[in-house]
Amino acid sequence: MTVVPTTGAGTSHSPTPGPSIPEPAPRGGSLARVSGRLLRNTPGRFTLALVAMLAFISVFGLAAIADTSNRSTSIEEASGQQGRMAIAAFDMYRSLSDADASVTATFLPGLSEAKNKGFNDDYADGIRSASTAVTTLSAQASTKKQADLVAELSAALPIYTGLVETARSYQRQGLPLGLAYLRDASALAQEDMLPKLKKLQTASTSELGGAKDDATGFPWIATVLGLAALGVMGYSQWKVAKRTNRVFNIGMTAATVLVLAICGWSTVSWLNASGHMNTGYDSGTQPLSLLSQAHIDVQRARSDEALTLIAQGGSFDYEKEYQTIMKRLLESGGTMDRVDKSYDDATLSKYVGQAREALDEWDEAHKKLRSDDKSGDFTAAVDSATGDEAGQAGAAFDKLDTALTKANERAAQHFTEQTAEAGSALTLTVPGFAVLTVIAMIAAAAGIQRRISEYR
Amino acid sequence: MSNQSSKLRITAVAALTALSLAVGGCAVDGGYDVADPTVANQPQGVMDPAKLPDASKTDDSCKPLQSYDPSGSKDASEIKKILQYGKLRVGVDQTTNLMGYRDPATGDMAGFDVEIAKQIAKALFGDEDKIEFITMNSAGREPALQDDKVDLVVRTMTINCERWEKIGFSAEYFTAHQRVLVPKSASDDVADLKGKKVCAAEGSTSLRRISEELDAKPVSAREWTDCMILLQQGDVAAMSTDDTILAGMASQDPNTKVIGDPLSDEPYGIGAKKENVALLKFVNKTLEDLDDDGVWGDIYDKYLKKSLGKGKQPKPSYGRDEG
Repeated sequence: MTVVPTTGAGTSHSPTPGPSIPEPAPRGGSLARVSGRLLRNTPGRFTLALVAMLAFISVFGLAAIADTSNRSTSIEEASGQQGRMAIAAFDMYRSLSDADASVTATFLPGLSEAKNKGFNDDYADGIRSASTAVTTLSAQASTKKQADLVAELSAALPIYTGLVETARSYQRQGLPLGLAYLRDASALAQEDMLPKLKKLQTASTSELGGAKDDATGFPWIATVLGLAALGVMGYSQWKVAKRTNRVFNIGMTAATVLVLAICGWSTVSWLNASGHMNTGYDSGTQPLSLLSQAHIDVQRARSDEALTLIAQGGSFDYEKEYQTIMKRLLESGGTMDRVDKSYDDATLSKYVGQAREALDEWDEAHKKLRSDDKSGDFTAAVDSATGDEAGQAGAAFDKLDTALTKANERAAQHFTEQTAEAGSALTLTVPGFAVLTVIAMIAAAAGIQRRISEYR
Repeated sequence: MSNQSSKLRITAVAALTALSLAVGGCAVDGGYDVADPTVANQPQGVMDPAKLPDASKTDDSCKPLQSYDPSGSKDASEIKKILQYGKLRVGVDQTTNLMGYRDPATGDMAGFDVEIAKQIAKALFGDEDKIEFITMNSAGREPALQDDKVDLVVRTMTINCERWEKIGFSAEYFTAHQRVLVPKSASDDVADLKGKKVCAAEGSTSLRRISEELDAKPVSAREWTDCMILLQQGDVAAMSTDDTILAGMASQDPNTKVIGDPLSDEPYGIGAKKENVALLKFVNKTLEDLDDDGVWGDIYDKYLKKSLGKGKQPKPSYGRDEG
């Protein structure tokens, strides 16, 4: 292939090296005149090639930096804001259901003082962590919709505790109206607050999914710009080689290698980070959301069990709700099955297995409890509901609660670890890319400068 | 030609600027006003205005209040079965204070209905504690009898012809009246409730009378106790239903009172399986004895007198065809 001169006469188009008549270095004059003059001779063209290379290298470098820093932001968002939001929503959801189930249990007649204190403490703990979660939620809310939901939750919490306290004072006086207030409080938690938390949780989980997608997406812009930079450098090198009859230019070769290095580092860190993000999401978020669902369901079933004993008679069928929940948890393809399948992890599976076992035990004990109550043995039924001996519903529930909490912690731990590792995969990429880009630019400039100087 | 290279530079500069902006990231806008939350400090499921149930015409064609002639005989097979089992199984309520409720402190069943049931156990076994209470809601009453889960139901059950189709009734053992519960500070005249909000349980016939006879605005809640909460919070001016339920509420809140003339009569009967005529005859005999011994009056005074004033056992009506 012959080189076709791009400009008019006066430009030598043979690849003759050596001292042709150099033009005096342009001093002053307009930019247009300068570049026009530049193109008319070889050193001028080299200068132009250098400018193009520098532009492409720097644009690519910046794109790579932008990409990796956006990725870090997304990961930070996942592990940070939205992650904290999702976890706080889970926490509040759990604490509130715990508090609700515990305070309902205190209304079971004939509780020993120790048990009563235990349930009261659980209630207080639940309310305390729910309040803490509200604070976290309001600090992390990133949209108006989220902030509004948090405000509603924050306003509902004191109403809930107020209703519970009214219920307790009636209960203390031996007045059944206490139960009405308890049911009312429970309905506020179950039908107003928990659905709102569910919304918040869904919103932050989907934002989390969005952040994950942002963090794991293929770096298109950087790739295209990298290829373009390599193309420009290759073309320039080939041109220079043609003109100067020197195949090898250390500076430009070094620049090319450096650009390739940025490409390589960028790809490896991307693969690494997105791998961890995906793992964290699959092994953390999904089981977390399913486990929370299970946890909330069992707390509600526990409230139902207690309310069937003390408040059955109204229009609401608590026992029916208990049955529905148990079915949802235990049926094939139900919540427990889905948790188990959501991520392949021996430890998680172990806890899920324990939870399933405890659920079966509880359901068995519950059947006995119901038949006791139906045949008029109320005392035995209440004993089972709050009991801590094998075969009693209370004991099975405690076992279940422990297993679910452990499974929950395991999933949360996975998520946190993986997002942290995803973040560390990108460590030093920003300064690294910057340094490499600058060095590549210097090398390219130095390489070309040598050739240009040969014309002087 | 010169334009080309300057364009190149301009493009490069533009690209650099754009990228550096991208690197800088977008600032999150945190400035929004949080709307004042509207959280109703009110039981879930309150409907204001309430949905009124369809008007039902009372069917008296079966002479609902007429029960079987009383008899103290324990020879019938169904009574022998109960005696053999050793306990009388009675369906009761555990949510209506004073009528059928669980004492929150002891967990024991108590109330007017519960004591009447105990008297029947006493008549059968000579021991009022030979009894099993099975708690149920109103919808569960008829099925429990039909499926033989309980021997009797003593649970504020109004005698009517529709129910006679499925189950049998004793003679009327109590007459309840729909009346009105208001705060103590309110006027004693129900006419003053005109245009004000009055609560009743959803789906109950009381709702219709609130609208038709009190000319008030009916508000419905899921349970009677929810109406009481609304009344205590001042969300409604009154609640209206059977005085038995109102008495139970009034006794828990000294700041309320039961007012007005009866808006309706609700004859309560003890239910049994339709075929168990002999058991109903025995119950009727027991009810007669309770009247004669003054036990009915004692039970009434213990639970209801304070809120409802003096009460009298209704006059029984017998002679129903036993075929």
